[in-house]
Amino acid sequence: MKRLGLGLLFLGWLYGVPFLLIAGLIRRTSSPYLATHAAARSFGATTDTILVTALVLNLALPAAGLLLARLVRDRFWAYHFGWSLLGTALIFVAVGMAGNAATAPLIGWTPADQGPAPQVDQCIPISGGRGCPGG
Amino acid sequence: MDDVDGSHRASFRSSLLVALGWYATVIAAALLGTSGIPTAPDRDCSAMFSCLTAQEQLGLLALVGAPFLAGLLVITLALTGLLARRLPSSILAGTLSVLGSLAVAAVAGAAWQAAR
Repeated sequence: MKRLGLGLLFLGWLYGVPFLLIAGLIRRTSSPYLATHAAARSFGATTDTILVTALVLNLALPAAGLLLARLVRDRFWAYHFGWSLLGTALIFVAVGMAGNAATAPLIGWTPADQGPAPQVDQCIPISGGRGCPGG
Repeated sequence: MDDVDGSHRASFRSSLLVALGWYATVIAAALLGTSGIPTAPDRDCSAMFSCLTAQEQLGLLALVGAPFLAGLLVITLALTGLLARRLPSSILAGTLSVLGSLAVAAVAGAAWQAAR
């Protein structure tokens, strides 16, 4: 029973983190059609949530697994979770390289939208050029 | 999962299951990632294959991708057989055999491109 739980935790890390990362990075590199700025922000926020969850789980799952396996003295899973920290580091390095290759930050990015450009409602007088109504 | 205490070897069956799990994970993640992306409603649909529904895209992809996937699986099967005998962990053997298969497929693809 203990072994099954630790095994599920390990598989959750092994497959769950790459799953979230691939899905998140596909969204991040896509050029979606978004009618309004609010829709673009919401799309970006969902992508951020997926990527942040993947990065947090990438460290949290192996660390928790290693701790639990040590506590219940399970050598098999302690061995696997110990080595999985190397995988954690490799995933962080890979995500860091992807982040360096991108022109905009990987997390906290809002895609372009098709909404109307914000209207300029402030008149700035230019000396020698245009004047402003009422002043 | 089989017992691993250093002296044991990975089992072929669980290594293969780990490898197949990788394929399932990557395909599912790609499908989920692309399904959430909204497309423009006013696209030009005059050209062939320019406006496929998600289901049609999936069918086309399965048709085109099946031979490649089959080739990858054959390489994975062979590599898993090799690695499972040498490595202490099924998880490591399955994961490395998938990575190795991708590398072999990439080299084969590059060689094919160069020979053309």
